[in-house]
Amino acid sequence: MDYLAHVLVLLSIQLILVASLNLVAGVTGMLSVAHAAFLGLGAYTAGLVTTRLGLAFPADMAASALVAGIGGWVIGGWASRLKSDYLVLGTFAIQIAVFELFLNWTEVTGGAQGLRGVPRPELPVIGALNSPRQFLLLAAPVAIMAFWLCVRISDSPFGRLLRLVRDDEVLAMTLGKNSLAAKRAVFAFAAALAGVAGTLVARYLGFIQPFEFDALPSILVLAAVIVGGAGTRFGPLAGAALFVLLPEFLRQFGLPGPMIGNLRQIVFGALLVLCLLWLPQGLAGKSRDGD
Amino acid sequence: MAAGPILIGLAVLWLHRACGHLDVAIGAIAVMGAYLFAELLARTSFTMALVGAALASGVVMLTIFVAVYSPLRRRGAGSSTVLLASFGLYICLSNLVSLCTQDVAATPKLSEPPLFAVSGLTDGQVLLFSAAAAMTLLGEAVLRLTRTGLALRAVAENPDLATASGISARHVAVLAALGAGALAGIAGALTALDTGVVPSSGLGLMIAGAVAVIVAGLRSPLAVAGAALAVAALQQATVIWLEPQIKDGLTYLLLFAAIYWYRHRLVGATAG
Repeated sequence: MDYLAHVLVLLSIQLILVASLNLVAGVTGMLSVAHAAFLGLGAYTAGLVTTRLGLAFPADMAASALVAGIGGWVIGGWASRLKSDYLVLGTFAIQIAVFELFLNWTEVTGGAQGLRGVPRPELPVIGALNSPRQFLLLAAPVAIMAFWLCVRISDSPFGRLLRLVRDDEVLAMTLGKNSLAAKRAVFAFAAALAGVAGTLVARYLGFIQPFEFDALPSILVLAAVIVGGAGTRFGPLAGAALFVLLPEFLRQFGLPGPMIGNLRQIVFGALLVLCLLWLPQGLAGKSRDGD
Repeated sequence: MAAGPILIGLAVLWLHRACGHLDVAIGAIAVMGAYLFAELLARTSFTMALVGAALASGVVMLTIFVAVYSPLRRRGAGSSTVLLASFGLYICLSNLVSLCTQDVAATPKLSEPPLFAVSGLTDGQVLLFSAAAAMTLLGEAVLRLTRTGLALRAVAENPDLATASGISARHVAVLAALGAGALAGIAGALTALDTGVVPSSGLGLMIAGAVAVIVAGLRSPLAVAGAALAVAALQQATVIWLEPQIKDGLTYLLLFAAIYWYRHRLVGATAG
């Protein structure tokens, strides 16, 4: 039962990440490869404010969302002016620069040793969320709320503006819409959500290492968005489920851990290429909203 | 220090000119070349090992071009979609290398005593620097003096006009893919001689090359070499006068700044 709860906690965290990146990459068409940087900003903020300032839940989550959101606002301001593969490479450069910051700012982040001793949160009535089952009581509602927020934004007039920006930015500007402001706002919002996911990571694992937030997780989250169905309503759910359940499926064959890690990434890389080639709408392609 | 990025940068530039996209998979191909070179060097001479690694890397790149990039382009995919596909291929190839090698580093060794008596430099460094210089000059000569180079420049400038003039953009792209793969293989092999290579080294190798290409503004091989030298000098200055730890972070910020600066001028051609 704890194993199932653990998988569902991972799924909840992944769902927040994929759904928020889907707003940026799928709905707005900005292929950002910097989402793990915002996840890391959120995780380190949560780790620092809980271990050094003694902040409790949900103040730590609010602080993480704020810091990651401000980071997203700043980076989104630059990224929204980039297009095509230069947007991908530009955000990728930012991702690695932020990773280097996590790795080398040892006084604050603990460097390669990471931050230890992040406490599990406490909720009224339930108390400390020590087991995966208890933690799921926090992670699942947060993930559902984040997913619902993303769907609501995607279906709102602002979401329609984002799709217009994705499909024809010149037309959006001709209609008097500020496409740069819209892209920057959605980038900051998605970064804030990634920061929320970072809080869950820090609080669940109790330990933060910079290698959790390097370039590869960013690429894999973007792959999950595309494989699930970029810009679709239920694509993030499909992408996140595949991302989390695939290694669990591979574990059934009794393979050693490192091999499972390699195989998961090979399958995900191959799925990304195959989807781009033959299934550009992704697994949830038919439910593409706005079409 | 700049020689590896120069070779990878030339491969990135070569492919970008013909196919119109930046390619991350080149990093993984360089790593494959390094491991293959290490295996071959244990069985045969240095020259044969290097040629074998270059050929195999070229064939892998060509296969990727034919099986993935070319079909994507035919379906109207933009350069960002092809770049994303190259990310997927990078993940596949580097994990495949990791699976096959159990993450043991490729550290091929040349014969003792050292072949070249250059003070302060290892054989690997001398070979890497010589190859970078030779490939830069050869690339510049090919682009300026040969019909293939002229065709490559024509396709990069205006693929439609080039096709209308009787130049086969696909033929040019196939040649460029083969050449880029071979260059990546050589870069990987010689970098392995110098510093050793692990399966995850590909991304760093590729990014270092991409920084040189983008700082150079997607211009000639000489400009790429100059940019790689400038980036390496900046990194050295950072190590000497600032903090060694911020060397890589500074390089990536430089990449972002270059992309931001050139955002209206970096326009890719399409082919294939």
